[in-house]
Amino acid sequence: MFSYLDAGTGSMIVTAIAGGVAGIGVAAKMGLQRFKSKFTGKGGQEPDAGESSDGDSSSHD
Amino acid sequence: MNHLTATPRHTTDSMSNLAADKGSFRDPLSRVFVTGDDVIRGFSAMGKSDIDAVWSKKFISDALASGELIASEFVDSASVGLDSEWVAAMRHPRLPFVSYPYEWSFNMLKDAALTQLRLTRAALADGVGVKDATPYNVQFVGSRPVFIDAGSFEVRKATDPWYGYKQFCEMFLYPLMLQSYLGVQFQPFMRGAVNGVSPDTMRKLLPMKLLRPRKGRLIHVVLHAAAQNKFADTKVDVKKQSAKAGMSAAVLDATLRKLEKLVGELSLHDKESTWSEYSERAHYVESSLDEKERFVRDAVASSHRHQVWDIGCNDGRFSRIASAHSDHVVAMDADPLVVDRLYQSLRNEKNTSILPLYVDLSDSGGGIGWRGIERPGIFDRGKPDVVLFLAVIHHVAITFNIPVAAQLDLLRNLTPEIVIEFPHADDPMVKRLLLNKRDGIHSDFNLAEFERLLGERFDVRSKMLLSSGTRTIFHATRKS
Repeated sequence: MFSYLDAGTGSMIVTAIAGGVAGIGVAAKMGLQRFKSKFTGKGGQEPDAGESSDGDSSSHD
Repeated sequence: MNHLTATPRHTTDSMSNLAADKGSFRDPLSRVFVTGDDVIRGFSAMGKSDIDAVWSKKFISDALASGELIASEFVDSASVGLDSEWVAAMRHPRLPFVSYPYEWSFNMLKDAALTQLRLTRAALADGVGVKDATPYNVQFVGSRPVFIDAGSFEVRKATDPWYGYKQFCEMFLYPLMLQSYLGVQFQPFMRGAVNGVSPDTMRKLLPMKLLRPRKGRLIHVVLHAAAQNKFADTKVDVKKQSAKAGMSAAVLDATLRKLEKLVGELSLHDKESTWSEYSERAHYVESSLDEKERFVRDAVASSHRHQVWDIGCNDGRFSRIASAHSDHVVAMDADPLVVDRLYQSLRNEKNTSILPLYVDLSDSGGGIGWRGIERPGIFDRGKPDVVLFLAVIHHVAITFNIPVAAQLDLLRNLTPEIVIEFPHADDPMVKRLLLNKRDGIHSDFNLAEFERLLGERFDVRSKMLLSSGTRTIFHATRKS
């Protein structure tokens, strides 16, 4: 279940970075997922057939 | 995200027998209704499952006990008249006056931000997420910030992200940075955009400074804006991504802790402002001030008042006099620095009956947000029994060219009773305001014309020429 605000990938990575030492590994993994997604077309998701998840943080909150 | 209106603004909500608050609709899981003196929050089935799971947590009882979270009492949703869509309900006390962040001073927004962060951290420690981070969820009872949105809490998985981060930046952090780092008032930005300042806008506004780096700029502004732009087109499941990357409560707690530190270090750099240093009081001989105090006290104390507005409150001297004879005072001034000093002084006293607000009378009254009614204008949020209008009329008339008659019309619409001070044409302050104006352009600004216009709208109960000889103060009631 998603909250009514969209966290957005960009903001989420920054949240982790802003946590300093504690979050840098998390941020790096998220960045890596993003990097991988460029080649696989999947951004850390395992979509069901026909499902379109919405990660556009710039338009909904 | 919603607010509790001090004055009912009834709309007919087709889904309910009660009046839904016009500012309560963004979160579909709960909604605020007002009926008479009650404020009811209804929860949908999904909202109920959240509130059932979180309400027994320690941080909730702590926040209720400290008053940081608004008093809340579960009631039967059907028996209070809610439609069946709302399967659970709470009753909250009515706030004396609803204010908005663009009416707050710097330290008010800062204290609201710290309240938000403190609650979010405490919730996180109890396994609860706070779903948003908007200053509209914080209200001030006098000088005390209170978190009002009991619908903000939701069950969170250990790997969930903090959904409110971007909103926190846009609506708390960036406005505070604007003021602290650039000396730019945040209030016009907040009033101009109900969703605050975007990361991209903030990045453009806040340049790098090599000699005195601006704390938080690199991560919360530059990186945030870049990340927003970079990932705007991604189609990813944020929750799954967060979980896979190992997001945890410990990471978010570290983020929140650092944000608390950052916000705590932002300061106003209190400098001279028009009214904070140059006091209107310089024009009074002390005996005039004493007379004025007595006049105001006598006028306000003639009966007990529920709500008094002090427009042009300056250091709050007359707000305090009114406060002794009323339940609540809303103290307004057009200088945010003056308001901030008053706020800090009230905060030190733990005053909960005088609410200081930044209001520029020459530019007030409009609502903002969805259809202009989501956040109603200031004159639609309260019904003052008495309005103090002391040493204001000449500034508004001469500096902003708002006719005396228009100001009296506003007062007539707003309140049944006024205490108003009129500086004569030969008053030193009036002369000063007229110094660089075209000769004769304000020739109608004189006592005789003022009394004529006042008499058309109000019955004068008493009046007194202050011993300075250049100002007259009136106590008047609206003509029926």
